[in-house]
Amino acid sequence: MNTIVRFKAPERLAHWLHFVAFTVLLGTGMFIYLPALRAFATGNAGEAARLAHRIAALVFMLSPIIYLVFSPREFFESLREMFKWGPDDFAWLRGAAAYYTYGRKAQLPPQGKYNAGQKLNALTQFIAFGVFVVTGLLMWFGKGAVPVGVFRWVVILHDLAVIATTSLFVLHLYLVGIHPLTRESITAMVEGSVSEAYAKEHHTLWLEQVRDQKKGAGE
Amino acid sequence: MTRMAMLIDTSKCTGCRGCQVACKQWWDLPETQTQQTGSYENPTDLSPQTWTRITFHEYESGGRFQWLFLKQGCLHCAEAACVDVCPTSALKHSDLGAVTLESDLCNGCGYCAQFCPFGIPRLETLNLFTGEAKATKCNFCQDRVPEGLKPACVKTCPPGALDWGERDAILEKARSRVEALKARGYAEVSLYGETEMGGLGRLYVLTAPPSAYGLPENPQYPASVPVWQEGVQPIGYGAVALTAVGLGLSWLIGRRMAAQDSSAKKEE
Amino acid sequence: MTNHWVDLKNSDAIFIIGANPAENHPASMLWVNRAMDDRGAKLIVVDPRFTRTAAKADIYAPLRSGTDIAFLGGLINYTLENNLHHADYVANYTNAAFLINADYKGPADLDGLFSGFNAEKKTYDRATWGYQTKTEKVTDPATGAETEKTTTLSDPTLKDPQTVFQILKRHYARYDLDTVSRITGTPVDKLKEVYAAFAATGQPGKSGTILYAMGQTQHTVGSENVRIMAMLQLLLGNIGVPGGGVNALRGESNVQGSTDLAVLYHLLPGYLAAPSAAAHPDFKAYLENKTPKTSYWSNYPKFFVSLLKAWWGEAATADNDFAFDYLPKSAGDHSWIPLFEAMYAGTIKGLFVMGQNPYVCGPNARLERKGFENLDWMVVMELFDTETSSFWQAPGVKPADVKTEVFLLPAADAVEKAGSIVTSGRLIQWRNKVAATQGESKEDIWIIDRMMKAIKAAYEGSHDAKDRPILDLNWDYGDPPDAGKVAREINGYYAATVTDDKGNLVAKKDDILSTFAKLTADGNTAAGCWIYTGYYAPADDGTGVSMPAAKRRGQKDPGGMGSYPYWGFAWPANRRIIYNRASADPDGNPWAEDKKLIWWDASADSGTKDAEGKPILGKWVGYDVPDFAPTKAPSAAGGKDPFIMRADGKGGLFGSLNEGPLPEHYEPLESPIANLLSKTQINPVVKVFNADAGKDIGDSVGTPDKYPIVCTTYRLTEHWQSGAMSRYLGWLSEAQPGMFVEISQELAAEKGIQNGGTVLVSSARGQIKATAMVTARWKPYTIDGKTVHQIGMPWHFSWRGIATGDSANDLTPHVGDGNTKIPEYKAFLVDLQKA
Repeated sequence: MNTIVRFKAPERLAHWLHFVAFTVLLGTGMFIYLPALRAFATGNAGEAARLAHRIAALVFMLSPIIYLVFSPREFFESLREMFKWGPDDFAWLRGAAAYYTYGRKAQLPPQGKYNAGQKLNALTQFIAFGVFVVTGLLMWFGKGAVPVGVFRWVVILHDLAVIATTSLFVLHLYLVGIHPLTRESITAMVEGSVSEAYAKEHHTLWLEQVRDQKKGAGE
Repeated sequence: MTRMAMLIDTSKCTGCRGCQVACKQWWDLPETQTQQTGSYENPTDLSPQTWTRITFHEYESGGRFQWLFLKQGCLHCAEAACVDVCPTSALKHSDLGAVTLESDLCNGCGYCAQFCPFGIPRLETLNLFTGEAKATKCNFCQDRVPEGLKPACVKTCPPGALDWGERDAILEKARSRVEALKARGYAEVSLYGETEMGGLGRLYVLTAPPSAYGLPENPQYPASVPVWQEGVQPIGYGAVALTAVGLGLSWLIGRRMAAQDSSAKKEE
Repeated sequence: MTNHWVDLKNSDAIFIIGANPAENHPASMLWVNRAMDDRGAKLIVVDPRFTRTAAKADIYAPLRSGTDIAFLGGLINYTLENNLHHADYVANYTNAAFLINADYKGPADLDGLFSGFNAEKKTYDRATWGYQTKTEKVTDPATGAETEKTTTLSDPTLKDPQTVFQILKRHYARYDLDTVSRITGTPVDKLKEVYAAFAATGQPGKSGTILYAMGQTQHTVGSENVRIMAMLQLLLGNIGVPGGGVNALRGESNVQGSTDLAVLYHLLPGYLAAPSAAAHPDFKAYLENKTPKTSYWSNYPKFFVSLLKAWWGEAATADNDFAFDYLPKSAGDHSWIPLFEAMYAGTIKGLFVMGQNPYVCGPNARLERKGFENLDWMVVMELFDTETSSFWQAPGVKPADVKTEVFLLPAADAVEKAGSIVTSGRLIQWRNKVAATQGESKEDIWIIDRMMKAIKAAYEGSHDAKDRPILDLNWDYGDPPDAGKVAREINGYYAATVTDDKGNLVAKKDDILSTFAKLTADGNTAAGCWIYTGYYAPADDGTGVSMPAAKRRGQKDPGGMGSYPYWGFAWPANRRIIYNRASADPDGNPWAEDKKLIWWDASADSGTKDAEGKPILGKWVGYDVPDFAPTKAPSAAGGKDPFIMRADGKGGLFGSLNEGPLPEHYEPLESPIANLLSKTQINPVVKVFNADAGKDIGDSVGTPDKYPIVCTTYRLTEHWQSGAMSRYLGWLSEAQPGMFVEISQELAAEKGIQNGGTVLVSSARGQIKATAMVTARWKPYTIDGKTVHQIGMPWHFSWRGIATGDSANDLTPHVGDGNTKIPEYKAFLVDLQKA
């Protein structure tokens, strides 16, 4: 079977770092968000959780930098992609629920490297990243540096970013790990490529682009 | 159990700092380094080492000059924002209505310090990197009071400006004191804390407007707290739960449909 | 105090002048508050600046430091002009009616002086200050014997111009509102407000109390300041009455005890006089000179002989005048300032310093510190290594240049030793030792006992007569020494077994005495301090339990006046309010129901029987021990003389102190203006020292051209005296970390000084640095139409400890009161500038 290269090594590293960091951040964060997990926020567990959250935050902030530094072309390409929205993207979104639930492909227009859902996820992640870093650093180092009135809204924004990213995280895990239509695409992040069939099914336009490039390169 | 309260009669307070020292002595709090900067007021702020202190204010009104002394410290609100935002329940209301602080449970997040409308709790940062920190504040002598003792400051107050007892009785005393002071010619007497924040555990008889003492005239429970605790956070549970449930449903339906399709195919 | 702390609650008006109890006697505010809350009493505070006490007052009035006699003289004038004095009380209980010598002249006639002044000696011949008397021959109807009887002339109507009353009126008529305002800087309407409020207590049934402290005493006219308060209270009928009195707020926790036990050069315990070489060549001369014919002091010999018996025991007998010759005799003025002048001049070789820090607390401190360097040795008993014990290594001093050998004996803290302490209200309370001493620290009693034993041992075997006082000194307090044994000696006991003339046993040798009424001058009794007799004798604590009186903590308060007779022991004889005969009217009934203290009960059993064996009826009863012969009826001779310690039994409106019979305003030694009342600028009898005057260190006196600003010194709640203890304590140093000077906003603006900035304050004797505290609590005065500024500063600071700063006493003058010699710390001149 033919495979198409989807993500280079630095991209994959950044992704997995981001995944681990996010999981740790989310998990340790839940200790103070969920009353049921309160016990883990105190004592030795609490101290470890607090330290883990901060170290994970550093990794979290580091991963996009690794992406940028080691695959700058792909970084900016992804950035451009997540902001490029057209009528096909909205049409895809309208039809996505039916497709993933019932398998009806009919209403889905062809997608590029990132389908609308992935673009939405990326965009949300991008914005949330900014919110997390700013609010997180303020919560970590900035007590007293901003007026109390500002801080009160900082913690709320941090929570809103958590809600948005966690919901998407659950969806992402489902699609990548469970859903029969998409779970094979995990190879994209593990080996770096997907099967041609998969690319044809889900990212038709991208497959054409890649073939054109290969033709141009004389493969 | 009946709610206890402290009455601070500023008309009797002489600013002697006995309470400031008694608190430090009982709780083994060390002194801080201070400088004479042109005031009797020292230390210049509450801190992890200073849970109560006297603030000094010069105030003139209606031809009467007053030198006002205010014993600053946690006001033990009935509707306590700090209790509502504390993620570990280190801060909570005791049986006697005090906002107590169990230091062992404190994880140093500092939310209490940021949400208190009076700006009382002080965070002692032990390690900025790891975030190891402890919140501190007056806890109405949470180890003395349940044993039937008065808070250390009340016990020591030489002129008898501090009183301690069941809140209803204290309110009665405070109201009559306000009337007595009016009769004595104080034009701007008031009782601070009767209904503010659901009713404060620390009540003040003031002989000048609250702002003259540095107290907020109309302290409000921060609007951000219900937005956060009762709005955003429950929405969070909802959103993620809905997502999970939604996806679960989607998966079940999808599987069923796939099974139906394949059985339909088999039939064909 | 004539009254006591708890008694403040019985007052209708509390007048505080020259004191700051909210800051320096914080617990007293409890009783002040009771008076205000329960009785609606008015709190009046008169002070150069708005203190923490003024913050609680109903009425606050400012006054320039050093003008208290003007202020209070104005109050006396106001009282008399408006007839607000307590007429009955004045007529019956004071010397108002007595006629004064026709040759008496006062300041109105002599431009500030009284008749009899010797300008060269700076003393007064008091002959013209006496009463007019007449002496007549009287025949005793019973025996036919002829004696001479001298009576004082008086005019009970108080109208005769030579009556004390009229002389008093004329004297203070010069203290009208405008004149007083011009001198004190107090606005006229404020004067009236204060005067009206306090003079209202002249009404029979009302009482007002005056609280004072160093703000009254630490002046060249300090004694007259206290005198005028006493006179005012007599006029208002406030002496001997609950809620009244002249009440000194003592400045140390046991300074009352130390003055009672005569830790003063001019006294012996119990306020007996120290004999002087010049005036008292022998025992007989001394007793003759000191024993008046009337008043309770006529018992003087009993007190004095009992004291000598306590000190020299078996060696003091009638044969050797009870060892009178063993007593050291004073040869001059040994008060503080001359002492340090002598040290400065190099004539004193050794110095013991016990729990005091002269480096910081002495006036003209730079001169006094130089005196230390002239000593051969200094022994300091202290809790900390203070500035005094470290003077030889102070900043700027080269230890190699100082030849004084300094010994530091670590002493024990108040809670580390047992003993008694006396409050301002004369209440003696025994305290137990509740903590062990630290390290090598020793209790004072141990140190002094060891020293005396060593001294005695050093003189053992000597045959020299001059060593007898040491060898014969009664010294047996146990090993280790027991404070209880010392207490017993102070209290007094029978030095011999005593029987009455019928041979019945009165008391056995060593039996403890319960009252000084039992003291005798024949050597049968011993008492280390006659006014304390009874304090260590067993007494009931009100619940049937017996213990030394000073150890009692009985809570009963019969009558509810706050006497608490079962708590501790108040000298004399457990009287809580002295002169309390005056709490009842001439007929023996209380002036008012809520001022009931003692009264005459004509039907009570006096305890004695007449010739027929019938009980004699009539005695004084009530809620306090009568300060009066308990069975003397109001109608008897002397029945209306409450002031039993005075020769005529009457309160002295017209008296006799070194500078005059009546207080007259004089300016402090350093003053911004010429005296507006007379040409006599300062107290004419004070000694002005002038060692090295004009030099950098010396007795220089400042003048207003170079030093135009009035300055005063005071204490803070948070520090203690010279700061030797408090500046070593973290919590206190945190609250008051450094030296500051309080300045009015107006003066600060004039000098370009910001709050918190550093300023230099200089006087003729030194210069110090301090932080400026610019405040609305100080306002400039208008003195005689001109603006005069005043500033003030705490005197607690020096270079040791946690809280350090420059010392205020580098600036204060070396001049003292005309009678007590207490330094004039409270009013002097300075200049101020931004640093």
